[in-house]
Amino acid sequence: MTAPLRLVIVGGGTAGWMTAAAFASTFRADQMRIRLIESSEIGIVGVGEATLPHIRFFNKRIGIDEQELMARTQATFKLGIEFCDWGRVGDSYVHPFGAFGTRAGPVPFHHLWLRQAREGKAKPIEEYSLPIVAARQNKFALPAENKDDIMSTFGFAFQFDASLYAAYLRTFAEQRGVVRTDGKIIDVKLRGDDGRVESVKLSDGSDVTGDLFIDCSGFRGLLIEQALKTGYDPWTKWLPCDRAVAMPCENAGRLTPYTRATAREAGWQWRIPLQHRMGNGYVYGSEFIGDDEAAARLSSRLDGKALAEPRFLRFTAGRRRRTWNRNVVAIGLAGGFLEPLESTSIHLIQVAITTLIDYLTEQSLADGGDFDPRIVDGFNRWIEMEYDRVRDFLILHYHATERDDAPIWNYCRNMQIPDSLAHKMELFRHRAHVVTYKDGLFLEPSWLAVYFGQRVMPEAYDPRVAAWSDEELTKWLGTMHARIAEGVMRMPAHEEFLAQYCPASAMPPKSEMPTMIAAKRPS
Amino acid sequence: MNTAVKNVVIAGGGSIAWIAASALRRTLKSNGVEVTVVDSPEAGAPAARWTLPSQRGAHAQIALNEADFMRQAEATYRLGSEIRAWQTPNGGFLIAHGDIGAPIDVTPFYKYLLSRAMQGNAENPEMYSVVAGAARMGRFARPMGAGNDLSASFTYGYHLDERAYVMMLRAQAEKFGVRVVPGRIAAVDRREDGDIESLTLDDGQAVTGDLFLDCTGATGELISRLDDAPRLDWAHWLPCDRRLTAFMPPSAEPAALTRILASDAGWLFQAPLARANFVGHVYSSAHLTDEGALQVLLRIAGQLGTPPEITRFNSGRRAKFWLRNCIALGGSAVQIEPLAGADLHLAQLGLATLLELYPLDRRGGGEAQEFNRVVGEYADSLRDFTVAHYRLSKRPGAFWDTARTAEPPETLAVKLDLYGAGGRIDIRDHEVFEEGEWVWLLMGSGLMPRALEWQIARAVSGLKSQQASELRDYVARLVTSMPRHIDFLHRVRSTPANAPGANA
Repeated sequence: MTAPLRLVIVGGGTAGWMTAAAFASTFRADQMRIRLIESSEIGIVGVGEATLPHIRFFNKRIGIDEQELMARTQATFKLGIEFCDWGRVGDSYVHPFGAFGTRAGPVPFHHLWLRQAREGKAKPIEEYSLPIVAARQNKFALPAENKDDIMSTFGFAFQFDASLYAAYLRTFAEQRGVVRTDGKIIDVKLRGDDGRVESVKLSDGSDVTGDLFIDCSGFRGLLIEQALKTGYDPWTKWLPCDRAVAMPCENAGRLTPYTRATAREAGWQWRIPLQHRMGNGYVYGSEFIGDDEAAARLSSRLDGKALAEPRFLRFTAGRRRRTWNRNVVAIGLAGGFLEPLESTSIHLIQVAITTLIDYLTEQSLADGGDFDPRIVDGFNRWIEMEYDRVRDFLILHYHATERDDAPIWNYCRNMQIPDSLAHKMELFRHRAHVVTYKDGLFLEPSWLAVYFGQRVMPEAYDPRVAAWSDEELTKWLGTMHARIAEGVMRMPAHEEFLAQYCPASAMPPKSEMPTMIAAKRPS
Repeated sequence: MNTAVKNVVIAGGGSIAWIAASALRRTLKSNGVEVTVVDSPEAGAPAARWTLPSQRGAHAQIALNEADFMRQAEATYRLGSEIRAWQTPNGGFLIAHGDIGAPIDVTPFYKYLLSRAMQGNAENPEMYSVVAGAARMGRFARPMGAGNDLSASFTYGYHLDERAYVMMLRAQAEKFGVRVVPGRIAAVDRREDGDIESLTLDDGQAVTGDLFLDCTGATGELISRLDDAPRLDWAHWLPCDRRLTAFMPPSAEPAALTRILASDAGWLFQAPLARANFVGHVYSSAHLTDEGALQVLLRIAGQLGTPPEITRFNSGRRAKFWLRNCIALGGSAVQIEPLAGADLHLAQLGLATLLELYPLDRRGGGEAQEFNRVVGEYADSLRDFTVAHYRLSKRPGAFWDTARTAEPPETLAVKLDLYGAGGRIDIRDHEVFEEGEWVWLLMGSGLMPRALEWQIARAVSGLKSQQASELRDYVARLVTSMPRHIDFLHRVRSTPANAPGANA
């Protein structure tokens, strides 16, 4: 038996503890020794309070009890994201976790809907999506197992307190053998022959050696960038926001089972309802608004009383050139940053973790981190694809707008978008065709929601729809509409469901930093 | 909403032309789409062929009854190919249309075999595969049984006589109201804007249309007049450029299997038909003369039943298949040796993509670009699968050295790298073959991963050798319970048309 691989995780935010929890639940102690170094002097950038349904695969894979997780993180359910004021001021649409209608034969539903809508015989498309109808009525129930049941046509995710989530995962990971070291890294030692990271030096003078290092140190990329000079590709020309300010407030009104993203004069504002408070923030471009003004705007647009002073954050949208370089894998903000418009931050962390675990071979574990370059390249290609596909989808939100009331929207409306996105939009405008792919995030319903929601209206639809008679179509759509309406009627209110499923009342929040993207404390 | 592109003209009279005609007419009849086939020869079409399972779907799409098809096209069933002498003089492996074993929870069974092989206990994957057992033992049944049972763990394609198949497909197209104009294409007439306006036939008749499909085969009689872009040449990876074929008397008991045997300058094949054997030699003219190729075939086959025919081809594809109002399908788009039997499959993927993107007007809105992207990826994946056979061969000789040592296409290099490092097979967006086919090829070729992914290794370590041997026994019992292929064929061929059970 060879010595266990020494895994060193640098940084203890969401990314760090998700990594620790996943590795600890996957590998035995005789295969891997996991140590996480975090400094209590350095605040975490708790990325992402809003998640995507994929997180449930992660939870299942590592053995997290979701009911307990929800109760401990003040969590609420999430059926989608409401986008306000994106196409035009006054517009609202929901990007749902579920499909629009049911496909009939080879033709996707939205083509059938378009034909009926043209003739004034269809309801708005969101009424053919169960999660949207439920979200609009603030209702929630768990999806049904039976695939024929209309109640099976949606998925869900969570909205939770990121700091509580990290704390929850920390307990989970430590119970499974992860050793936490409180310390600040002051130096990184590279090996002479191949430039790999050999050890990190802590401020108390001790050295921590390792075979594989996971850089979860946030934007600065302590290992991946400062030590290995990997390089970063900025996407600022398409995603011009480079700042955020966060400010939680008291809840007021009903707990919505969805996140809201409202387009503003210099970016957009998030609103994430948790059981004990509301998370809020303003993502903006520093070129378009000053920090103080952004904070003032945000605080004037809260649902309830502010619970903290504004916290600021700076970032550059983009991706690290190599997520895995030598024996360092960058996960979380160290690997890249895409604004949380579509709640992708935790998802991209999750993808990096699970892909890394899947790609690790017996050999690389046995040989003390002698990673086959073919595996490293394969991993990097995969992560690049994930980032690039999310990127295009985000750019669509900024570009597909008719707003001309602020410089940021004038810029985005007219900017040169990536060819891959221009091609997708052309095909949708021309004939409602959605370019789909097998791997990567955001399938057909996601693209449809944004296209329709932001007024990218197709000139035509799939000609094969002509094979349907008017009566057939009317019946198909009518039945679906009725089944969805009836299904939602039977669902309990979101608050009611939460109260019996995962009340957090007995567990007051421990964290002092309840923000989606909390700023760094002075270190 | 309707389409302004009403009048489709299909040039070429081979199987893909007729399948496309029927599918387009049947799907878009409600849109008033009329289809005309200019029935002219398809250059380079084979006299018989072996197909992938997707042919069953193609037949369903054009309402072709299986029993009728089997009878009229002189068809036999096909469970896969046997690839012999590519590694060692007497060794061979199967590429079969079915599973190896049953998944261990969610982990494919072949990973267990890889893990055993790495420990020095290599086993033949065929022992765990119903489809392989049936192919080897000359047996056949349609997949049956419920869900995950191994009796449903496979599918099948066909061997068919092209001339008889074409006659049948033409009759079917005419049933759907496809107009047929016999004649050879003398000229392609262009509009001022460069689009094709009409085809002038050798009798002077002009056939006008809105959209033209070029199914004329290797010559690409329409598309080559529009396209001055360089072809993407594959010859440095696939040096074979000749196909010598003939028919022979049938085998007494044909297996549902295409047999492929390496020669010194290419490979020989034998494909069983109901009343003949289709045999041939695919080879590189740079390494072997036509006469030499014939001698090699004769040495193996003995006497041929028909005079040999020689067809030339150039492996490669067009950079763009859809140009202006013309779309190339089949040999006019892609030429490749028939090792994988995927010519019709690839053309049908093109057809399916066209049905998704059938143009609404002459101007278009990105359809051609999307078609060229998607079908290009499919074509390249077929290239990769074919090239991999050569890349992984161990056969000595000048021809084999040339093919093996060519730097592989990047997409293939990536695939082989990931498998070689960790036993992982990644299938990207538009690929002709799935993990299953790649496994047969990679394991059969003897490419051994350096290691297994750790998670996978753990998943398969739970399987006990007792369980594996029970699985082997179950597979063997299933195979022996299947009818002989020849009996199954007799039964299907004697099924009256439209009888219950005549459909697949």
